[in-house]
Amino acid sequence: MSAPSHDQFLPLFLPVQSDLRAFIGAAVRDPAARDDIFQEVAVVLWKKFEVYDPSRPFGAWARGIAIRKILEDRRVRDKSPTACTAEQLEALSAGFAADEAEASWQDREKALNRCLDQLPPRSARLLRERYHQNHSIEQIAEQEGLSLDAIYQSLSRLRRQLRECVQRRLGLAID
Amino acid sequence: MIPTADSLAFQTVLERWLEQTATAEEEAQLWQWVSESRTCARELAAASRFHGMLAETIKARDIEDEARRQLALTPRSHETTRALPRVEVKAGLSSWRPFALAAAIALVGMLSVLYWPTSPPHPWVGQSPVSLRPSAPERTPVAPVRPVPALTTKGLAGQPHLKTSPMTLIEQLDGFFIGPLSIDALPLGQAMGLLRQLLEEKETEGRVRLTSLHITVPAGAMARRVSFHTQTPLPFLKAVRAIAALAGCDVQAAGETIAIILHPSIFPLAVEKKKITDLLVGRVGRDGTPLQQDPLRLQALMDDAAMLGIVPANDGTAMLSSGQWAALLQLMDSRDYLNNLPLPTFAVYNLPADQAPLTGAGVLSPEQAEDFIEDMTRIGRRPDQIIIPRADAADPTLPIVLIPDGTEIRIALNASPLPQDQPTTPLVANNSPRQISDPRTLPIDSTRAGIGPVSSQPPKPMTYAASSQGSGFVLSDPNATNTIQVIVTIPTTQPPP
Repeated sequence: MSAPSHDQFLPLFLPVQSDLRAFIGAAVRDPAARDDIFQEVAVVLWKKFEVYDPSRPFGAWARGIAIRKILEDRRVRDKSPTACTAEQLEALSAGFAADEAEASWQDREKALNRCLDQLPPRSARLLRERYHQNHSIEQIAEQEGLSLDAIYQSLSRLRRQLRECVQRRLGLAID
Repeated sequence: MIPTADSLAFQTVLERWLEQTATAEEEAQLWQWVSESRTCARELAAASRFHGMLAETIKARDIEDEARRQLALTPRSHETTRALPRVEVKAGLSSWRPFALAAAIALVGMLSVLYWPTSPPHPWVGQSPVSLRPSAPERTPVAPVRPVPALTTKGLAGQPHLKTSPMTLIEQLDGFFIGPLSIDALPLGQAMGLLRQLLEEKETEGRVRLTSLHITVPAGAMARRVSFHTQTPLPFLKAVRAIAALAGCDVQAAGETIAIILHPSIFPLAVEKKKITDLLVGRVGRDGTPLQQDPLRLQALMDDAAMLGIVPANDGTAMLSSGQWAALLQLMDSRDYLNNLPLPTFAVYNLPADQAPLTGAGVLSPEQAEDFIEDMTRIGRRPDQIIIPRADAADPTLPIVLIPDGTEIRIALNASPLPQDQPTTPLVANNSPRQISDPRTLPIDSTRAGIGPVSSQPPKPMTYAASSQGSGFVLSDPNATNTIQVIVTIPTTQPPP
């Protein structure tokens, strides 16, 4: 196995960086900590790139390093009593690997944009408030004059519809 | 019992976990199921991936929509740059036409030409998270380095006439200084809009056709948030470069377009240890002193660094990103430029006598100059020429020479050879206008004026004015047969102290 050149790093890293963020985000719920860990992982990936085995999927290698960083961070912060274990993170990583085999992030994102284009204005506004404005369900409920449960159900239904829409567009089986 | 991934029990907990409303017990239960069931692990992975993508995509779309709305952009596709390589077009297959169209739209989206109107200030400027530190009213910009070449034009119907500036729009923009400025976590698209807005606020005299200015921001960088704080005024393009660098982008500027180019790198940019005093290596002050040994410039560098959130150590090193480094570089270049600038930019108006701020030739007071500019703005009159001194000239204190020759007026800059056989009127020199009793008939005195190339010539009509204190000059063509034509030269800004 020949050591990969750093010239090859970005072409491998850029396509998986959003996915890596999502993986870290699944294990670390605090946005600031998540960003910090992502940065640290990116630096380690760069520094350790020479030992990367190109015959392995880059995403899996990156998640392996992310798991170590997440666990390290957890030891330092020690704020999460329900924190997942190394085994659970490995299981999640395997889940990511199985799911990513179906379609790339780029194809999914493209399909999602198409699906979002078809949303009625009220649904689009709800998603915007939740994901761009980062409003809590409570804040949205108050703003919309609806119950917490109504907003919760609406968001849940919207996510499900969008996921199905994306899967339809990609020709994937709908669970 | 382990539930299946599509079971109500798992889906309920998963939904609550995604919304961060799950209890600690529910969260622990979820992770337990994930470790025991591959399908549950895969479902959590798929949901997390989708959740992250949804948040990212909605944020990007929302910011792009907002930027387009605020900047009056034409609608375009929401394709992202990452989606581009996936689009393939095969000629001859009509079924691929929609994809070809999508590719074209995506390409347009990536280039993302932002046409900003030159209309009155947009209300969003005050509502966005941008805070502009108050600065003293600055009516005029400072000059860029690039000189305007000498030009000669024939007048019409006996009227001296001046050509318009040969400088491109982009080159003219460097004559406008932006700052002090404080941008806090603003998406790049909006930050560029803000710069555009500030430029328009500076360009109140209609000297530059800002309607032609195109600024393109790639869709992939539109939502990147940047913070940029500076007390140092920057030329417009340097401000654009600094802010783009902080967003991990490069800038290409030519003609009437400023293109922000997405640099393939990790964003947010990683930081590394660098010696920021290296930014001063090779730079010298006006007296030739290396700036590394200039305590004032060292302090200025530290101040600029601090404004960008960089904390230098005692040895001059600091942890900073490549974008912060590039922004600091632009600030250093701006300081150098300001420190080395000998003269302001001048706007030249070619006017009938009844619009002249003075009767006959003479030097304008600051008040007269200001009134004159207001009058010109009110009647919508633009300068016939903008003259920009060059900082690298052999004698940069003599940037402007007007050469009346019958119905022609030749404008020459300091780098241009002066004619040996024509009356010459140097308008800007080192002398104080207070020493000149009759500026139209003062003979050449090279020891006082330092005008070099014409010092050996016999006395000629000329007008002097001090270079740094001059508020403007009025020249009545000394060779003209009547007095209805005047040239008013107004500094569009004062050089820095």
